[in-house]
Amino acid sequence: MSVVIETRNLNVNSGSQQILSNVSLAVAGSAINTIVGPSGSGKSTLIRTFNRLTDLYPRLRVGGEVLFHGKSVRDYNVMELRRRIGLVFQKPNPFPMSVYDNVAFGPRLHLSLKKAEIDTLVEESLRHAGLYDEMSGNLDKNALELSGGQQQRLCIARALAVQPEVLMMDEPTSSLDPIAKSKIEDLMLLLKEEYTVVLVTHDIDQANRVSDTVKLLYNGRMVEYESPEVLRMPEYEHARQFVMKLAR
Amino acid sequence: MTETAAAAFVRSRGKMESRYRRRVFSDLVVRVIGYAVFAFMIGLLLLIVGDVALRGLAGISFGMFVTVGNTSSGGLANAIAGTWELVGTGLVFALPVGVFGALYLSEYSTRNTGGVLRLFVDILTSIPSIVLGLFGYLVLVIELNMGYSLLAGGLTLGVMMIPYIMRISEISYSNVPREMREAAFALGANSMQLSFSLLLRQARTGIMTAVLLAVSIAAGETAQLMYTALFNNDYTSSLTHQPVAYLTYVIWYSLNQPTQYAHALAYSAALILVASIFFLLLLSKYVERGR
Repeated sequence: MSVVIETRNLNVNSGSQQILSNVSLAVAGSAINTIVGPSGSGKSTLIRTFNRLTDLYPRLRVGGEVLFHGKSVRDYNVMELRRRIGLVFQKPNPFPMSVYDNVAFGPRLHLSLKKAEIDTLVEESLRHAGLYDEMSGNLDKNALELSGGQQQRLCIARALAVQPEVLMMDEPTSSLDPIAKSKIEDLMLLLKEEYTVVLVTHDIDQANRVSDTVKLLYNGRMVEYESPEVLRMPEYEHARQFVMKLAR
Repeated sequence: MTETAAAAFVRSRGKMESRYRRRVFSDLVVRVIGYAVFAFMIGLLLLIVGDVALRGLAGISFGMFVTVGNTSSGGLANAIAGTWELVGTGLVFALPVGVFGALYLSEYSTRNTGGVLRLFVDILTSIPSIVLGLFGYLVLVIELNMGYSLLAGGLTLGVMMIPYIMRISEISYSNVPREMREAAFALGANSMQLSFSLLLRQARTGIMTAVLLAVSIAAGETAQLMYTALFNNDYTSSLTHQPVAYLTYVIWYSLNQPTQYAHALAYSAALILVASIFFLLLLSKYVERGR
């Protein structure tokens, strides 16, 4: 599999607090690359270095290298980088506007498109996110009136509308009920056919269900870097303890 | 909690009960003070508004709203129109400066530049209106040769309105949740796009509240207008070189006149002004609640 994103000796600190220490990893194309770890282990910070969302927080110091297609993310135009590496957040965060305007928000930032072109983009993105059948004819509805699961799929559609290559999902199901959660997991399996997916989760079972590769982050360090099976048979003491705790 | 500590805690029930009584009493005292302050404020407001309303209503007539006057005879039509012309002119100047200044403070400024600008804006709030009036007279009326006029008066009012609009709008922008900003940036937005496609839209009720507050304060100004707008016994139709009438001047001037009609005119002007400001404040509360 081709490597899409790679980090080399990535260090992130906020003041005197070390958030990530010497993290080196590779994200494989057209696969679900899962990063698991307990809360506070630095998972969210890690993926935010990929699209330079860490730039928004001047206190965060990023050292080492993050490469996207072999080129440092610093050498990309940040708007272009973020268009190509999309992010879905832990809590659904639709904009307080219509379903249509939410999905059209991204495309409108990058291109001046005709109404018909935006219509097509919105429809395709909603279809990709498995929301079109529920929402067609209701695109004017305020996004904040949707259920939590629908809001999260809308956020996925919004991220897909700018035609990214990588879709990062930061614990996308942690605030959802089991049914909404399984819909999103099914969606991830479909999405990996077309996109490189980076999934961050603290749900070991979810990681087992959907992942192609799993990386375990613990206290800002990468302690496992194997197939999902390793979560069942961890060799490292920290990882074993963590997995045992979560499996209970 | 260890066994002994728990036992000791339970044993001191008697002490707790006497403390309960003290706690209930102190709660009552604070509650009584609260009600007293509330009653005092309501009483004060009723006294002022009631006095203005009783005296104002006695002299008010439909004719006042449609005929021009000169502070001792005639109506208030020119003063009512002039007041809103002045406030409107001020707003045309203050709204963009305030809204974009707030965007700068909230999205672009560094800790240092933002701090300096906020300090200046706060100082501007505390400058006495007579000093602003003097500034308007020297710079706008004399130096820039606008004469006593709508433009000179309006701009001076605008300077006074800017800080209110800027600081309240800034609060509205910073109330936009961090998750929403992150979502926009994650889609590839830059600060300008974030501001125009999300923040302005999200903060519009806050900006509206700020505008209504600034307008109500500006409508009640006198000192700075005496130096910049003077007064006009007729309607004002030109931006420069033509003085403007306004309600606060009628109140101030007519009360010093020796006729009963002038006094009635002053109270009617006061009632119209208070009622308009009251209406604007209610409107701003309504807008705020609608968010």
